Parts: sequence; structure tokens; C-alpha cells
Amino acid sequence: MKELLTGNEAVARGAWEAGCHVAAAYPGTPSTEILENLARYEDVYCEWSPNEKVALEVAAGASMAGARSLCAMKHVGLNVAADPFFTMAYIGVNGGFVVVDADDPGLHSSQNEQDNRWYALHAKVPMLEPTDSQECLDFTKAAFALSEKFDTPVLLRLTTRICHSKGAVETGERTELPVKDYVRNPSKNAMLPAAARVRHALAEERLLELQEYNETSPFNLLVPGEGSLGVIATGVGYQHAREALGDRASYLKIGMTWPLPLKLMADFASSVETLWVVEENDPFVESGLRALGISCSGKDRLPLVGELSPAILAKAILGEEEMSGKKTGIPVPDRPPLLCAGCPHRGLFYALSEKKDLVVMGDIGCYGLGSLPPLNVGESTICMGAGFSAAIGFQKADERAGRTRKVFGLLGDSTFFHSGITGLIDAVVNKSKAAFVIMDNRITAMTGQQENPGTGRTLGGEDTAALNIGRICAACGVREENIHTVDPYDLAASRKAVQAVIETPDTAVILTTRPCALLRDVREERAGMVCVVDTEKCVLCLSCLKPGCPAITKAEGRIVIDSKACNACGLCLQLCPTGAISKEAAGHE
Amino acid sequence: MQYVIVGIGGQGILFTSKVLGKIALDRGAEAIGSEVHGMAQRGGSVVSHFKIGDYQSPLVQAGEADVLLAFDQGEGIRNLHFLRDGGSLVVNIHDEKAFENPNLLEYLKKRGIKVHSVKGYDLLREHMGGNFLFLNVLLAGAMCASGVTDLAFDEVAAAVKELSPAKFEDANRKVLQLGYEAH
Repeated sequence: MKELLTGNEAVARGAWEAGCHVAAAYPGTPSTEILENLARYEDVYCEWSPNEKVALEVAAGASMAGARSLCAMKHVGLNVAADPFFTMAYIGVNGGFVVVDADDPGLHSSQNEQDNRWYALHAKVPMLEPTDSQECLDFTKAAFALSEKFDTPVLLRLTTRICHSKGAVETGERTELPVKDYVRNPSKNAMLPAAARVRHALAEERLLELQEYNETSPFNLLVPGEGSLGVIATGVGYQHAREALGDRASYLKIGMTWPLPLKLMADFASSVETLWVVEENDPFVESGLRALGISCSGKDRLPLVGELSPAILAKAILGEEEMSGKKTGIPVPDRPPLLCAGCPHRGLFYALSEKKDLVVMGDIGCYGLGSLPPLNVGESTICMGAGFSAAIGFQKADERAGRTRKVFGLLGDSTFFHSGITGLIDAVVNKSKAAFVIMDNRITAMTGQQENPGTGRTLGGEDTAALNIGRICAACGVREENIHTVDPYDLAASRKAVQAVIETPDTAVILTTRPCALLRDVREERAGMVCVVDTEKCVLCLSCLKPGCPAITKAEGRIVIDSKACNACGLCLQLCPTGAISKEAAGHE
Repeated sequence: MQYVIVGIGGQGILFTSKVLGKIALDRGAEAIGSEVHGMAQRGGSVVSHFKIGDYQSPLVQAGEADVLLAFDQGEGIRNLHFLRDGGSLVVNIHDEKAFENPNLLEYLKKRGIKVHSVKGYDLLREHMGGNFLFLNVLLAGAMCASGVTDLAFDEVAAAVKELSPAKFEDANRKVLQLGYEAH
């Protein structure tokens, strides 16, 4: 039967059909829905791990014990998980082991645009790249078999446009496989130098076998066309090329992009007069082709930055101009992502924004949006956990330079568990004078509300231990009197906490406790609540607009609160000098 | 048939491509589309592409969409370049003045773009107690009535029913009818 599935849904389905036993991930756009969908099948143990390294190691251990296992992460997650990934390439597998990686060309929701295909080359593991949802299912299934056949982890590389595009998929049923026997084998599994030297040589031999296999593997497809133009394409670039060029070109679609099928590519090149390589981001396939001494057009004519599209290819390859669709030129206000109305981050951000002489090192999450106007709180966004660790270094540099301002590191609950704790330990042990803010909104919010170690629920929805962040901070050595727990809806309390940590030279923590405004329970609890403006009392001082809440605007000479958006967090009310704003229960008309 | 569906994060626009996809598959047609998650949840602009027929790329190119379905008039105006000449804009409007802009009128006229507007917020305030989460179903009804697609009312109603929780069945039917008659 055919179903319309996103790439992520199809990967989950493929893993289930392949008999996958264990799966682990840390949420990250565009990969998040893979585990969310896989968790709906009871036959597969699924978990949110605290970070990608843990996820990969959980899957690695399961594979070693004989289970078919999968881990999934966004591209930058594989940086976090790179350590076990490289060594698992030496160890190989017992049960099939698939690492799903989702890159983000175009940076829809990421801090960089790295091309993770280099990881396959670097770690010496085979890589599959589907071009649509059907291949997401088929390649995922095949990846488990490939992994077992060649005793290697397999990298399944997706991109945002593959993860989040939908297409009709022919689904099948699950093949139930027993978990394989485990036989103790330290020379394969314990990578002490003597054993690792041997395993490295085997990994090199395996690559040669994989390359030979890939010359005739089912993942690549030759599509003859009418003209003398040839296109070697990967990923969604293949679909864009087919649509832009149609039968005017012949195609070599490469679905297994490491090790490259060099002979297949060379044969195809010699069968056409003009050769293009179509791939997003880096010239990965193109480099392989050029190393063979074959000339082609590729990144000399196509962008290294951003996504491809049929229009970009038509223009570059055929010289066709764009279609009639020109922009109107009529100004429409931009809608950048911003902190929601009632977002609990806003109160503490506002308290920080009132202080002139401080620096806030930010992190990955909704609170990254605090660096945008009008709050302008946050100097930096590097990676998960860097909000804390970079603050330590920034403060040390400030101190050396004689700058006395307070340095803050700021991150969220899920980021704290992911890689903030190690930074906090560093701060305490090395006597950092910085302050560390954990905006605990009781959920992994930016990626769409996933559970984390603080929420008390597993991916499967079971109750579990809810880790207490304040007690973790204390256990890391932050003194109790320097841990300030505040409700960020309370502006006075937020200001007081900011002032307190500014005044102490010790390592200090501010922990906020208000849950995300989008949580179902919170929305239900506050459904009837709204703030209203008494225009008689309002003096149009505009203080209420300073925190940048999207629910409150000045229109036609008065302050207006959008009752659809407002949840009566009351921040604007606390800023009003004339008491013109009050809370009331909203009535539907 | 190529659709671009635009709006603001949280308006439920992904539901519309699910409805279109269900109808296409039931008809035995090919369907492909693309959407963006993630940051779009934070009140940002959302663009969803959906193509029914013999296509390979999940993206609709500028100047190729047959229908632009806009949950928000600003997002509709911003994305008009997706429409082909002679294409149709089906739009939820809250401020008619925006459509009196002479430059906009000239653009629409020059490109032969037809505009089908619905005052979605007013209708939902009046008939659904201000529950704006029904906007997607309302606009599906309006699009159906506008005649810019070959979708039949019953076909859309059946797809909406199947893709929604049973408890919304009556309300969805009412809203779909409301959108259909509003056109």
C-alpha cells in the first residue's frame, strides 16, 4: 500500500521494517521526527538520549550485543558523536548499525552548513544518500543489511529537503529478527592500540571491498537521455535536475556516495560530451571525479552556499532565465522567528537587558532569539554547551584586560543536560567569576517539545526520574547561597537575581522555573487569561513594548493587546508606570 | 497542479497539504511536496510546497504555482512571485486596505492573477467562538468553492474527516461549509 510520507517518517518505517531493535537520538531539526515516528512502533526500544554522543554509543552497544540498532542526529550532532563514530568504524558491528545524519543546507534551523559527507570519507564508513521518501525507506532497510554484510557502521545521510519533503511510499511489513548471539571478542571490540592497529588495516581493506561492491550496487542508477549532456547527481539535487533538464540530459544518480563508484562514474563521463555534477554544499562527488582526471562543471558554476533548486540548475546548465514570477516589490513586514507571547524566557532577558555593563554568552535553543532586537541579550551562539564554557574563557580574558563587567553564560534545560554540566564543573573547579543562567522551561522547546532528563517522562511517554537542575548545580560545587531560583514571570525577582549574581565574585547560577508557554498543560491552564489596556490610564510611554512581546503593539495611537496571543504572563503589566494594564479572564465573543 | 501554501507558524498549514495529499493518493495520482519545520514554529513565515502530477522536485519554482493559498494576507503578498501568470490567490484577509494598494493591483492585473478572499477571522469569531485553529479547514472550503482547483466539496470533506480526530467531525463539517459558502 502507498502512503504519503516525509523522508523522516520513511526512515522510521524502513528501520521498523528492517527489524531494528534499539534506536536512540537527541532531537535536532531536521532529524527530530525520525525517532518520534519510530517510537510509535512497540517492537523497537526508542530513547531520547541526553546528547548525540550518548545516542550513538547506546546504538553501538546494542549493535555489539547483537541487536539491529540506529541512532539519528542533525549534522552538528555528529560532531558531538564523532568520537565513538570513528572508533566504531574500526570495531564494526554484530547487529546492523545505522547512523542517520541530517544535514541542513540553507541553514533553515542550524548554526552552520557543514557537509557531513566528509565524515564518511574521514571515518572510512560507507554512506547512502536517498533522493526521495521511497528511497529513505528502501535505503534504511538496505543499510542494516549492508552493515552486517561488510561488518561496518553505515552512514545514512539526509538533508532538510529530504527529511521534510513528502512523497508516495510503498510500505512493507516488519521482518522480525532475533538479537544475534554475543561472543566475547576483545581483539575486535576493545580498541587498545595493539588491537586497533589490526582493525585499522581491516577497515582499509573493507573500503576497497565496498568500492568494488558499489560499482554495481543497487543504490546507483543510470538514466539515459537524448542529448550529449550528462549529469552526475546526488540527494535532492537529482530530483531538481530531473525536473529542470528532463530528457535533455542523461543521469547517473549516485545513492551510495562513499566509497564512490569510480569506474561507474568514469564510464558515464566518457559516454557524454558535457558533464555536470549536481550536489548541494561541498564538491564531494566532484572531488572524486576530478581526482580521476575527469573534467566537469560543478561548484565552479553552482553555489557552495544554500540549497539548490530546479531554477538554479536551469539557469546554470541551460542558461534559461527565471520564469515570470517576479517579486511584487511591495513591502511586507518580515516575520523572523521570535520569542512567543508569554514566553518565560522574556522576563529574565528583560532584566538582563536593563543592565548596561554585562556580556551574555548564548547557546542553542529558543533563547538564542533573545539576541535579536529589542532585547539584544546575547553576544554569541556557537554550539550546545558553549554558552557556559565560552563564558568562562571570556571572563578570564576580560579579567586579564582589566575589564570588570559581569560575564554571563546562558542556556536551557535540555542544553544543560546535553553539555552544560561539564562547563559548570569547569567553572566551579577553576573559580570562574562568571554567572550561569539555566532557563529551565521544562521541555526541549525549539525542536518541538521533546522530553529531556528534567521532564520526568521518556520518549515513549512513561514516567521516569526527573533530574533536579538546582541539585545538580549544587552537586557540581556551586554554593547554595549562589543558586538563585526565580519565576521569570516575576520581574522584581528576576531583577533581584541578576543583581545578586553581579555582586558576587563566586561562581553563581540563576535557574528559572517557568514552563514553556506552548506546553499543552500551560495553554489549557492559561487559556482564559489575558491582559487588557485601560486607554484612559495609558499615557503612551511605550514601556510595555520594550520586551518585544508579539502580542502587544501600538496601533492607531493606542496600545493594543492581541487577546488571541496573550497568555497574561504579566510582564508588560509590571512595566506600566500608571497601572493601565490589568489581567482578566478572556471571554469569547 | 502546483500549490504553494503560506502562513505563520502555528496556523496549522501543514494540515492542508495532508488533505491535498490524501485526495491525490485516493485518486491514484502522484504527489510530492516540501515543508519546513523548526524555527518556523516561533511565529515565523511558513511556506509549504505541494505538487500533484508528474513532478520530480518537491519544490515549486517562482512563476509556476497554479494556486497560492495564504493563511495570512501579508504572507500571501510576500509570496505572489510563486504564482504563474493567470494563477489564483486564495487568501484569508483581515485588512482590506492592503488590497487597495495601487502597485499591488497593477501587479495582479499585469500578471492576470485572480484573487479569492475570505475574511476568515471574522467568520470564525462569528460562528466558531473565535477558535482560529479551524482556519485551515475554512480555507480548504473556500479554495474548493473558488473553482481554482478540481477538488469536489465531498472529496475534501471526506479527507478532512479521515485526517482529523473524531471529536472534531461535526465542527469541521460546519467550518468547511462556512468556507465554501463564504466564497
